[in-house]
Amino acid sequence: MTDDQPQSGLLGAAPTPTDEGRERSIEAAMARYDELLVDGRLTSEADQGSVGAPPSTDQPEVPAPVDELARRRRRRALSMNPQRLLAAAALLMVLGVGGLLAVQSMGSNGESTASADQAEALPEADATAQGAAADAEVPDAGAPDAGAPDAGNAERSFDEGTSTKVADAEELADEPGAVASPPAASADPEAPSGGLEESGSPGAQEADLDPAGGRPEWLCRLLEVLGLELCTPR
Amino acid sequence: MIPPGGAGRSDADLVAAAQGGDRLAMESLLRRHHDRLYAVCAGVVGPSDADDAAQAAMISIVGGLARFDGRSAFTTWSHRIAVNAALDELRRRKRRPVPHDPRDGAGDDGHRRNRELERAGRTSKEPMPDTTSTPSSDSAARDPAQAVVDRHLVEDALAGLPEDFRVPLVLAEYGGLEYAEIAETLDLPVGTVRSRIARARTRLANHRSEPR
Repeated sequence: MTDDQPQSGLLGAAPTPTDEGRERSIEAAMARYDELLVDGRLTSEADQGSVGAPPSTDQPEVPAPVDELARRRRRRALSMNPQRLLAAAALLMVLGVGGLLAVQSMGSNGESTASADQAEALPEADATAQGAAADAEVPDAGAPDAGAPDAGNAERSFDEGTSTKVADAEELADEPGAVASPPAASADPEAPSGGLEESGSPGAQEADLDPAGGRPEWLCRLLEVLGLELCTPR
Repeated sequence: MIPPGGAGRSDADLVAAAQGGDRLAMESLLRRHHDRLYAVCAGVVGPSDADDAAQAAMISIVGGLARFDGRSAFTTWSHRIAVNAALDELRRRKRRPVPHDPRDGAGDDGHRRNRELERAGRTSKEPMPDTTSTPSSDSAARDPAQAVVDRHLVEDALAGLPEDFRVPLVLAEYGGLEYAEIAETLDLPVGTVRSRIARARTRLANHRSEPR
């Protein structure tokens, strides 16, 4: 057996037809040949419009067996291939998780932006709280309920550096009447809370946040554009 | 076997003459290639349907010869047609209900095997001989029954191979084609043909060495 000659004799002698079978086969083929002879020339089955046409004009030497094998190969590769199905499932999973993470990170970015705004406003809030506490220390600083919203703002500051003043403010807020008074009842137009509103940020950010999910307004709009109703309608 | 009109003429000459209406050339061409194509069909579908497959292949060759333009060798082209006919025959056979043989349950092949063994003076119930050796004409010369058994072992082993392995192996062993010709016939890379034939031989050897 040479490199190009793969015959090994492993299968033994090739099967041979019976004489009868051979003659029958050749007779049938010659009968077909006679049918296809037109004006002394051999015509093809396709020219005569018969079923089971031979190879096409474009590829006259590509009969069906290879097409059949290739078709089977393609079909087998496309269907019932567990590796392909697994790969597709894994890809979908990765895409899904990636999309979720992206949406979440966008949401947390919005929240962190709001936090950053709040943090920038903290010094002012501290000052406001200090001012409010100072006001509260003055016995005749006005109605006791006037300090209540300031105390609330001071509580919102969460700044340990101002704990003393805040504690004072809290003491004031603990007084009867101060707790009961609503923030909107602040009669003093010069109240520090107004300054907070001007500086704007925590209150304004809160106004822009989705009340249920805590998502910023821009994210809610973006999600709406994307067709995702994740924000609570206002 | 080949009529005098075809002796000494190349396939290309015979094809051209047959396309021009030379009946003798057509018949010579068919006789020249019939037995080899029959062997390929027999290897793919088994001997019981080989006659039908070979006849279908012959008719297809005649039907497609008008469009054969000689870009590939007639041998390659005709083998492709034979493989196609054999695969069609396999498909038809799968759709056919297999008659149950109460003696050995092997259907047509079982009947044929028993008839051949009876003619050779053996029965199918006798123990199988050593199957690790390659069947050869020597064993046939020594014991006709042994040759029958060997041939049926080969048929069983071939039938157990997947088509993707069986067809290239049969084209190599029975068709006598080279790797490149098989690759062209099956429209596969040569490396794929080599590996499939090698794997087919390995499977065949394993099949034949299995205890029965």
